[in-house]
Formats: sequence, structure tokens, C-alpha cells
Amino acid sequence: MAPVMKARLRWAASLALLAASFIFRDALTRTMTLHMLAHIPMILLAGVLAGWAAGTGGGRSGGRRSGGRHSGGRWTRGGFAAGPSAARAAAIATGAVWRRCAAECAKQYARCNEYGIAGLLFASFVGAYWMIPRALDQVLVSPFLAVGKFAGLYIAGVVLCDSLRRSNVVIRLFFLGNFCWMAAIVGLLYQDSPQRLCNFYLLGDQELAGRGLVAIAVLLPLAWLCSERRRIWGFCTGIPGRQAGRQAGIKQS
Amino acid sequence: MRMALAICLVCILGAGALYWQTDGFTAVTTESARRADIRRQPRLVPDAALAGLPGHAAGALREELRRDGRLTIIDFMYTRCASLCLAMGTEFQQMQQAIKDRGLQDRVRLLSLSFDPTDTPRLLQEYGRRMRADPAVWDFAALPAAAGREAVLKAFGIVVVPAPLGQYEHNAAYHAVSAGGYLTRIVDIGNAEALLDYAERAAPAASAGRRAASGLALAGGGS
Repeated sequence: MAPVMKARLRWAASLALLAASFIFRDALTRTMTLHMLAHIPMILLAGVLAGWAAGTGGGRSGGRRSGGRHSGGRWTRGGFAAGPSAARAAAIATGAVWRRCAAECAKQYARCNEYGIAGLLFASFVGAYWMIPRALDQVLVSPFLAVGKFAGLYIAGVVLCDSLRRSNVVIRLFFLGNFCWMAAIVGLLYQDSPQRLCNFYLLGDQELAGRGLVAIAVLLPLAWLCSERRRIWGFCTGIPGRQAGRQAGIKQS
Repeated sequence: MRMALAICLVCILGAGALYWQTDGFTAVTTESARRADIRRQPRLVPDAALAGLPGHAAGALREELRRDGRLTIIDFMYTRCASLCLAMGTEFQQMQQAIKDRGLQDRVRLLSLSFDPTDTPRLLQEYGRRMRADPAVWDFAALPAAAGREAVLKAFGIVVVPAPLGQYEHNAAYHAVSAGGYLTRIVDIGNAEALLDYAERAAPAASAGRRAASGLALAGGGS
């Protein structure tokens, strides 16, 4: 499939997910389990898909190629190729300004988010915030916080996707481990608490949400191990790191 | 350099959000935040219509508190409840006895407020009889007007969630309210002793109590 088509599909999927999480927000926040394990991940995933589609940032170590510029050009070429010549010229001029601007932003952003550390830290904070029972309660009564939830999680998704690309395996492992122990501990606390932690959710529901969090804390590292199996295999068998890394690189890019 | 700045900024923003959400890293649940909040700053309860107080005319909540003049320990319940309210009822029974044993009946009283719109004064009376409530110490009332009921629940921080089998799930605790209408302390179920100790300290002396002490004086006298 052409890259343009792929990007469009990802945009469409992202928008569809975001729209679904907005339309079904009442149903998806009715129980704690749905709220934590469906609604919040949905918005985050919509952001991740958008980040994937935009392909912002590229290089594994601090943005060697600027994806913002890349995708900007792609859109312009794809969208205006058949237009009348005057409109086309204007479009190309606007496109040039837009491309320069996007490239500059991408450059500044890439310098701030070197190795994806700042971005992954941001995503970790967002994850921690949404494990606080009080946050789950408050977002149900405050429209202001509800808007903040959508915006924060979506942006966190975009940043997460981009930061994962910029990061290396050590950084990824650190943040993944950090998130997983946090989720596991919170999940165990949810299961053990004899009291309801959220005023809006029932006790049995809280236990179920706790189990779900523990499951995530187990499944995410397993998924990561699967995705990095070549690299790990290379490390274990002593095949030189570059070769193993190249293999992993081929798989991921 | 820029990366370090970005990381610092993210840390400040993230820690700030967590700090704000947890009231300075002290409360992770709405319930604990509610209690700490009341402890720091007593809250004036709204004036909602009450129904079913035996022996008195139906009145508004603040008016009733002022008229009675005692420190009032309020719990929220409904008569069909099969779990939490029964536990609270049993503990209120013990508290009723403890109040009499300590000779506090002129300074402290108990009041069970029903948040269920289907609870009538008659149902509450029957419930009180079942609980062997002594009307001198323990009263029951319903909140018949929807707006008033919502306002009271909001001010006290009570969230009522419909649960299976026609039941309600609700956060339960004991609320100490002064004669002046200030909610001064929230104490968890099972801490009746601590609550009565607090009430003994906070409640006005028997003679002054009936003269409807001002709420602010009481609010300041807490802890």
C-alpha cells in the first residue's frame, strides 16, 4: 500500500477512535473497569495512531529526518495535484510556508524531546494521574476536567508514539518498567482495599479494575519482549549487537 | 541543555498536576479529601426541607439544628438498605447507649437522614422502632424536596450510586454538625468512640447548648 494511503488510514482510525470515545463517553465511564481499561486507553490510542500517521520525528537518536516536513509535503502533493493552476500555485506557496514553519517547529521539538525522554516522562505522568481514584471521580462531575482528559490523553498518545521512535531500547525499558510496576501496585491496592476508593464506582468493580491493571502490568512487558525478541536473542547468543540491532531495526521500521 | 529544560518543565507540570489532584500528596480518594477539607474548613450546610421529625413540625435543616441546639451527628441512609446503613444503624444504637452512659444526651444527638425519595415519615418511624431508637437522642428525617436533597448531599459530599437489586451504593460516614449549621468533622464507620470524644469536646455545655450557641464559635472550637 502507498504511504499516503497508510497515513490516511491511520488518521481515519485515530479520528474514529476519538469520535467513538467521545460519543460513548457516558457508557464507557459507567464502570470503573471500562473507564480505566477502555475509555482512557481509547483516547490514548487515538493519539498514538495520530502520531503514527503524522510520523512526526523520525531518527532513532534525536530526529535525523523531519517527519513533519515529510508528511506536509506528502499531503500537499496528494491533495492539490489536480487543482487549477492558479489555485495550485497559491497552494504550493502556502505549502512552502507551512513546510518551513513545520520544519522549524519539528526541529525545536526534536531538540527538546531528544531520545524521547521528556515525552516518555510526560506520558508516564499522564498514566500516573489517571490511576488516582480521585481523578476518576472528579472528571465525572467537572466538564472542565473532562475536556482536559480528552486533550491530555490525546496529546500524550501523540507524544508517546513519537517519543518511542526517538528512544533507544534502554530508555524504553526504563519507562516501560516504571509504568508496569506502578500499574501493578495500584492494581493490587484496588483489589485489596476493603473500602470503595471512588465514590462513583462499586466495590466489585474496583476489584475488577485492579485485576485489569495487574493484567496490563504483566501483558505489556510480554508484548515488549515479543517485539524485541531478536535483539534479546542476539544479546543472549552473543551475536554482535550491531547485527542483532540491524535485524530488529528492519523489523521495526 | 534544551532537553534538560524540557525534562524539568515536564517534571514540574506533572508533579504539579499530581500535587493539585491529591491535595498536596495527602489524599488519593475523594472521600479522604472530603474529610481533610472539612477538618481544615468547616462548611455551612444548606437549608433543605426536612420531613418526619417526630414531635416537631416539619422544618428546614438549619432551623432544626438551631432549634435543637445540640451537636448533631448525622448519617445518611435509606430504610430498604441491606448493608451499610444497617451497620451504621447498629453503631448508632451503640452510640445512643454510650451517649446516655456518658450523660451527653443534653449536648449530643443523632440524626439519620434518608436520601431515598421513596422513604416516607411513616417508613422512617417504623425503621426507628425496629432500631429501638430513643426519640430523645436519635431522630429520623427524610429530605422530600429533590433540590434540597441534592444540595445537602453535595454539601456533605455524599455520592449515591444506584446498585443492583434496587439498592444504592453510597459513601458512608458520621458527620458532626454544630447547632449553627456547620459541618465540622467527618468520622469513619467503626470510630464511634473517637467521634464521641470529639463530640464531647466540641459540643456546647448542657446549659449553653439549649440556648443555641452560634455555629462559628463551635466551628472554631473543634479539634
